[in-house]
This record gives sequence, C-alpha cells and structure tokens, in this order.
Amino acid sequence: MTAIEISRLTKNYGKFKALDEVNLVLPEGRIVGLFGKNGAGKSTMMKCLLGFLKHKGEIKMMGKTLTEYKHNLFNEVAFIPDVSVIDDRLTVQQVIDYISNIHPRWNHLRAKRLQEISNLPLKKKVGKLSKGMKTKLYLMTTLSLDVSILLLDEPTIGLDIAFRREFFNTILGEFYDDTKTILISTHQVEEVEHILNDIIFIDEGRVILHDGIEELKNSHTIITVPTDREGAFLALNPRLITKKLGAVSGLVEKSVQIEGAEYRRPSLTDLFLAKVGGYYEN
Amino acid sequence: MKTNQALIKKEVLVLGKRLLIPAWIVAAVYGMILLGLLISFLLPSHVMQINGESITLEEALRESLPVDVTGQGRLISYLFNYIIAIMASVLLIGNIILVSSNIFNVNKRSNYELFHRTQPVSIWKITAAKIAAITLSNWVVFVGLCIFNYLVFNIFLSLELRNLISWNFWYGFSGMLHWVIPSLVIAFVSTAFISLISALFQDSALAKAAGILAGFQVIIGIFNRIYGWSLPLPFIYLRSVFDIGRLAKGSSGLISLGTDFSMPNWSFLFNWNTLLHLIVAAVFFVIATYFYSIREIK
Repeated sequence: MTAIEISRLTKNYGKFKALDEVNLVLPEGRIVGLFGKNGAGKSTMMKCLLGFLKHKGEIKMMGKTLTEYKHNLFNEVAFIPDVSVIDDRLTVQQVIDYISNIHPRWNHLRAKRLQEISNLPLKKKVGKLSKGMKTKLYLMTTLSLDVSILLLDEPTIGLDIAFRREFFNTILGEFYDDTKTILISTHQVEEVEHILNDIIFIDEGRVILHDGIEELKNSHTIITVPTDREGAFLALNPRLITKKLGAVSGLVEKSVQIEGAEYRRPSLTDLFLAKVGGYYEN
Repeated sequence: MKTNQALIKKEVLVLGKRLLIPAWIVAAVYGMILLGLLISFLLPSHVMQINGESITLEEALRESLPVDVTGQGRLISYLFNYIIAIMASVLLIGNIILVSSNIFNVNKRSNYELFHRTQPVSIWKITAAKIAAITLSNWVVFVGLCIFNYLVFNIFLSLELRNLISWNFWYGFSGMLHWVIPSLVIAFVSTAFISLISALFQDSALAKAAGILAGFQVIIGIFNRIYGWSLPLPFIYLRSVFDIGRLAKGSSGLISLGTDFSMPNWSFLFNWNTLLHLIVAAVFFVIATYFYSIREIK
C-alpha cells in the first residue's frame, strides 16, 4: 500500500517558490530520509503533507486525498517539528495526561516504557526544561502514538549525542514495524543513514533524487588516484572532487575502473554532496 | 466527553494565575479596608457626654440610626449588595478582555499551535474548549468573590448597622443575584466577542479592532449627519450588547420602590433579550472558529 503520494506539489511564498512540482510516492513500511540544504523546502513539504499550508497539486495520505487541514488525519499521522512546540505552561505529567486523553491511538504500554527510558521529571513545568529535555518529551509522547505515518523534521535538535544515538538505534525501533512509514528530515546524516531504506534529496524546492539507499551506494564508488593520473580521472567527469597529499578523489559510477586506483563505498554524506553540492552541515 | 474534559482542563491550566487577577484585586481592597480599620482602632475614640453618660462617636452614630420598621432596610440591603456585585462584575469583564484577547494568538507566537493542531481534535472542539474554559473559570472566580463579599459585608453590616439593616440576608442575596446572573450571560457574550477579535487579528488584536470600529463610528456618524440617516453606530450597538444593567433591568424596571425584593423577578432573564444575547454569542463563536480554521500554520 502507498503511504504518501504527492503529485505536482507546488507551494509559493509570495514570489518565492518553496516547492516546485514535487512528485513522490512513498510505500508503506519504509524509513525515508529527506535531505536538503537549509531552505531547500523540507519543512514546507512536511507542513503541506499535514494540510497546514495552502498549496497546488495533489497529496494523498494513506490513500485519502488531502486538500486542506483535517484533524482526522492525525489519527494516522504524527509530526515532530524542528522547534519546541509543547506548551511551556504545563508540567510534563499534564502534557502526558492531555495527549493520552485526547488521542485515541495512545499506547499506554509503550508510553510507560518510553517514560522509563527518558527519565523525565514529571512534576516539572515544560518551560523549566532544557531544550534537549523538551525535545525528549515530545519524542516520547509522539512515539507513544500508534499512528501509521511519522513525519520527523529535525527531531533530535538539542539532544546530546548519546541520546541521539539511543533515539535512532533503539527508541525509534520501539515505534517502527513494517506497517509504518517514517519520513525523517535531519542534518545528522551519519546518525540516521543506517536505519534508512530510501533517501530523497531536495534542492530549491525540487526533488533531485529519490532512490533506495543501498541501490544508490551500490551504484557509485569513491575513487582515489595519485595526482599524476588526475587528467585521466577528471576526464571521467567525477563529482565531489577532493585533493589531498598527492592524491585526488571523487565520486563516480560504480562501473568506472582505473588502474591502480583505490575504491571506497560512498557514505550518504558523499552522495548528498555529490548530488546537491555546496555546504552541508553534519 | 473525555476529550472535552481534557481540552477544557488544559485551557484552565494554561490560563493559570491570570484567572485569579480579580481575586488579587479584591484582596488588595480588603487589605486597605483592614488597614483603615486597624488605624481607626489604634486612634483614640472621640468620647461625648450625652445625658451624663460617656459614649463614643461610633456608638452614638450607631444608636442614632433609625430602626427598620418600614422595611427600608430591605431596600438598602438589596441595593448595597447589588452595587457590590456591580463592582465585582467590572473585574469580571476586565479579566475576560485580558485573557480572551490572546486566545488564538499566544499559541501561534509560541509555536504551541503546531502541538495542538497535530492532535486529532476538531477545531470546533478546540475553540469551544477555549471559550468554555475562559467563561467557566471566570464565572467560578466571579461567583466565588461575590459570595465572599456578600458574607463579609452582610455580617459586618448586620453587626454594625443592626438597627437599620437587621438580618436582611435574604434581601441582600437577592440583590446580589440580580446583578450576578445577567453578568454571567454578558461574560459569555464578551468572551465570544473578544475571541472573535483574537481570531480576526493575530497581533495587537484589541487595538486593531478598536481602531476599525472607531473608523466605522466616524464614517457612519458623518453619513448620518450629512444625509440625515440613522444608521446604527458600532459603539452604540456594542454598548447595548454588553450592557449588564439593561439585561438586569429587563423591560420591567425592577429596581424601584415598592418592589418585592425577597427574590428577583426571574422573568427579566427568560426573555427574548437574553436569548438574543446568547444567539449573538453563538454567531461570534462560529465566525471566530471559521477565521481560526482558515489560518495557515507556519
């Protein structure tokens, strides 16, 4: 079954085109990474998927066409944005009680397990929590919901590296099964690449690549050759060229063979930089 | 039901201490009164000689009050409590304006909007919960203050002015209810109206609404003057909608000598005027919810 289907999605902010004719099909049960530079259109795309923004084009979530904001969508979809959104005036316990009472998909058992992992101070006001603790609280409450689609927009902002690892390696696993679809947008590329099935690269509002991560890695390679063979190497039109200590390297199609060259499997960061180019935070 | 309760509870929790502002103001007034009493207690009383007996000024004043034989004490007790309730209702409406003016905008400015709008709850329920929470919690604080004032002042007056007032507690209670109940209706209408302003304007909502209404007031006034029309002026209309006195008085002019003050004539509440107020509040609520629902969540 298709979880998310987008056809010709376009979103303008005045004259600025944030999304430009985006077409995507995300099947059920996949963990998909959405990568792009700042301002590429990742957050805008997620907000369109939730019906928060008026847009052109068609969006189908779990087979249902979404033309505008519909609260019923959130029986099936949960969203973690890149900013702190939990009401500072409530305590941690009040937030948990509130969501558990209004959301029909609240999973008490999972919520209890996640609360134990997170070790959050239940009586403390959200406003008194650190940025990381607020993020942790929102992750815990959102992952306690039995929804089919999870949209994560920079979900681990403010978290320390240990908890980020725990989140991607363990906690997300508490939520995920093969009936669920997760779309993750993050700049922490190395931390998520091992859990992803597919990747989407977006740049200037356009999807420039959508593929399986293994297929993509298997079809490319990083070649390093001595500088005396640089001319022959550059003739192959490699991407992501770097020079260091008498050697030059770059990303090429896997089929390319150069005598005496060293070959390395590209990382997701290599692929991103090669396809999108420019500065990328990690 | 569980959802509605959770929504209203959350709204009351986030409103928090702001709901108690009227109580703090009343506490400050009581503090000043107590301070005055303490100072007067500490100052030496002026002693007079009457018929060879020493008597303080306060005792003399108390003894000089006429005995309530004609029932005027009932009227005084009624009106006194009526006036105390009027003062409390000013705090009620003031606090409603304070807490309602940001009802749809504070969440947007703080990004809480994303949190609330990603829950599977109808926007109608969200809006209704906000208005219900503000109305109900202000009602509770207002009624609580009125009952407290009623008890304190009536006990105090009955002790101090016992000849005149005697124990006319029931008439005082009737006077209080006569103002309190219409105030509750107007509080609801006010919450719905201020919520509508908050839904229409995302920043400086009250100032913008007041500016636009003032503009219409001037323009309509000019047209009425030039062409001899009698189009309704916005502020005159709003005054009629929010006039508690008009609702309390009804069409019968209840507060007049010779009225039986043992109980307000409740017919003043159950009439077309009250129904019209409730319909106006419902219209405000519907329009507010509509404008809130069509906002983009950025």
